[in-house]
Amino acid sequence: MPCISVRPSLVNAGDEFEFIATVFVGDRITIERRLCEIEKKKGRHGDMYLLRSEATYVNQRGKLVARAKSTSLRWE
Amino acid sequence: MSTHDDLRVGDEIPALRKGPVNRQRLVEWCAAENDYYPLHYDERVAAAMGLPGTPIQGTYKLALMGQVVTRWLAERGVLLGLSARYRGPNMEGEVLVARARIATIEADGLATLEVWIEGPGGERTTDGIASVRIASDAPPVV
Repeated sequence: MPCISVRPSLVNAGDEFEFIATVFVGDRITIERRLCEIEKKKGRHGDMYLLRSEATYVNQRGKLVARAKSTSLRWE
Repeated sequence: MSTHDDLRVGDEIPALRKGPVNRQRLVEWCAAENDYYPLHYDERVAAAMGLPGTPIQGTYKLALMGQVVTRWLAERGVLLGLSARYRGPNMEGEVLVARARIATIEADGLATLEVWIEGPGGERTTDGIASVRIASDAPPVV
């Protein structure tokens, strides 16, 4: 039986995008993601953690073109 | 008459059908996102999570939800925002249907649509909201 190197313990629970400005071919976009909150939850099979993060998408002129919020669920 | 006078809250827009979403699509999506979490292409990893197959990425479904709306809007408006809650998994090989219905519409052309994904049995696995702006000088949306 081959060994599984990654123990799956993460699922994506939700995404929310806000499109602020047009992005063009050739643009260079810098993405910064920040972990905002970790909430401990009682799951059926033990503790779970709700992770909330936010990302900004900025073009080469420093203009914010999009913002995103993401929620994922993690467990031991 | 403004161009969105023909739109009514509750109207459903044309659905978008995609699939069967095979493993090659899932691996391509890993590449597109630069996220190679093996759950989406290794059934041993999926089995360890108790899943019957490798699940389609949530963000793939989010993209379909965006596509059903932008295809309908065409050149007549823009997508301002899109959200999705992944309530249940869809598995490799499934045919997905993205559907949307007008939820709110304002006189200035700002509107929201309820958007969702249905699996092969018609079950709703993902839902979200799209915010759009319909241009006032655009031809009517059909």
